[in-house]
Amino acid sequence: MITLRPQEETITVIRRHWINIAGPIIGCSLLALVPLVLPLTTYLPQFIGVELALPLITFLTICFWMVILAFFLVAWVDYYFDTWIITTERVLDVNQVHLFRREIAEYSIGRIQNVSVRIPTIVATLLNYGNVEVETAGEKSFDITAIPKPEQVKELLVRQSQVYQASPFGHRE
Amino acid sequence: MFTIALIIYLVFLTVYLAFFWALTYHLRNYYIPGERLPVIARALVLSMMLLAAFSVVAFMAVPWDTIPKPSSPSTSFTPPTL
Repeated sequence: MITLRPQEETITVIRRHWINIAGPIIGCSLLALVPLVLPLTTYLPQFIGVELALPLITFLTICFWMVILAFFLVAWVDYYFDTWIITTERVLDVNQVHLFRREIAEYSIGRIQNVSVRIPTIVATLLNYGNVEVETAGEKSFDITAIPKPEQVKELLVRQSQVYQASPFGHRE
Repeated sequence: MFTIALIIYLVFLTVYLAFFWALTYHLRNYYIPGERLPVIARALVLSMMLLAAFSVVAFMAVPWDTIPKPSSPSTSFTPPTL
């Protein structure tokens, strides 16, 4: 669990644009239809009999759906837990690499120097998502990738950085 | 045939339950304070549990011992006559 410092507040939690999870949703949905579309109940009973074929097809179909659900689970965990948390003091970059690997980096919001927005493709322009590239003083620069409304996030980061630098916490850095 | 099927099924179910455990672990430990659990997470947990339960019922419904054993090539082989 992510713990905040005393007097620190979460401003917003940013996740990647829904287009990033649309592929796995469509792919898994199409795959789930495969046992229903295949004419298994027509052909398999001819070889092993109806009494055996129907329960076997039902069992194997359920097992197939379980595998698809597990695949979707991995994609969803990667999407949902891959977040950027902007607080009053920090930007937390939580990178869910895969199901059992997670990396968390944090950047002081007072050290943000330059923020730029990059819209990579025409699809990104149409769906209003893109990357926000953040340069910091003395720390590693970082990218907030494939997020919705990148312009608003850029404005928020710049504004919050100015607020933090004007505060007593900012003067101490 | 039932024993072999049961062993394979239990291995499969163990892996599946490991995935289920991973999901619940992530939801319990990595949630963001003040954020509501999304509907899709609840749906995922519920559907995973339901599918696991259905698979147990479906496994028990299959008459495993009536599945014909594949004949071995050595018994069905007839040597060519000269």
